[in-house]
Amino acid sequence: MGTTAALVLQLAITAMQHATELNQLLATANAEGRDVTPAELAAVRSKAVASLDKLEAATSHSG
Amino acid sequence: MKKMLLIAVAFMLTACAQLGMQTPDTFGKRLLTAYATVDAVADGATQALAAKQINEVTAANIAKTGRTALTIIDAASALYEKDCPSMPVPGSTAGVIDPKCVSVGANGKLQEATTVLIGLQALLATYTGVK
Repeated sequence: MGTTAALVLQLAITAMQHATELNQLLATANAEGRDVTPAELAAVRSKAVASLDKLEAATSHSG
Repeated sequence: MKKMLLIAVAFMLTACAQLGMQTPDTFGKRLLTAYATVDAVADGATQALAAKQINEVTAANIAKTGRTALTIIDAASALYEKDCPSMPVPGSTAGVIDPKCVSVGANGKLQEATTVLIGLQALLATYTGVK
């Protein structure tokens, strides 16, 4: 129960971290009155690809 | 312990609501939001699998659908670049996109990806309770 509770809590924390990171990027661009840069887009896309790779690896290795 | 966990989660959800989420008001910002959502869903699914809140089959389906969403977002990005090419800026290597430029095709693709991602988030939330 303790371990599961900790993992669920970690899940909630991670969701909040993702929302905060995105909000920070948008807030910076909005404050500077500009659109997002190609570099910012590329960085976020790379993170998405890495997370998908990690999920696929976990799927094929678990159990 | 369970009560403390619920209080902690409720606190974080309230904090999220009070953060004052920024609105993506350009195509580029909506593109960024879509990529970030793929990241968040995939990361959340990896942790949910580790916590045994979802099984391998569900995780594999989320990965496959996430990969599809990524492909659609890439297509939206390519369409937008084709329809709204960036204009060169004197003295700079970076171009600038006309903020008034609208690409109906790119908007449609991005909307399609957003629909897929909303479905994935809802699916994950039914297993984890985290939205």
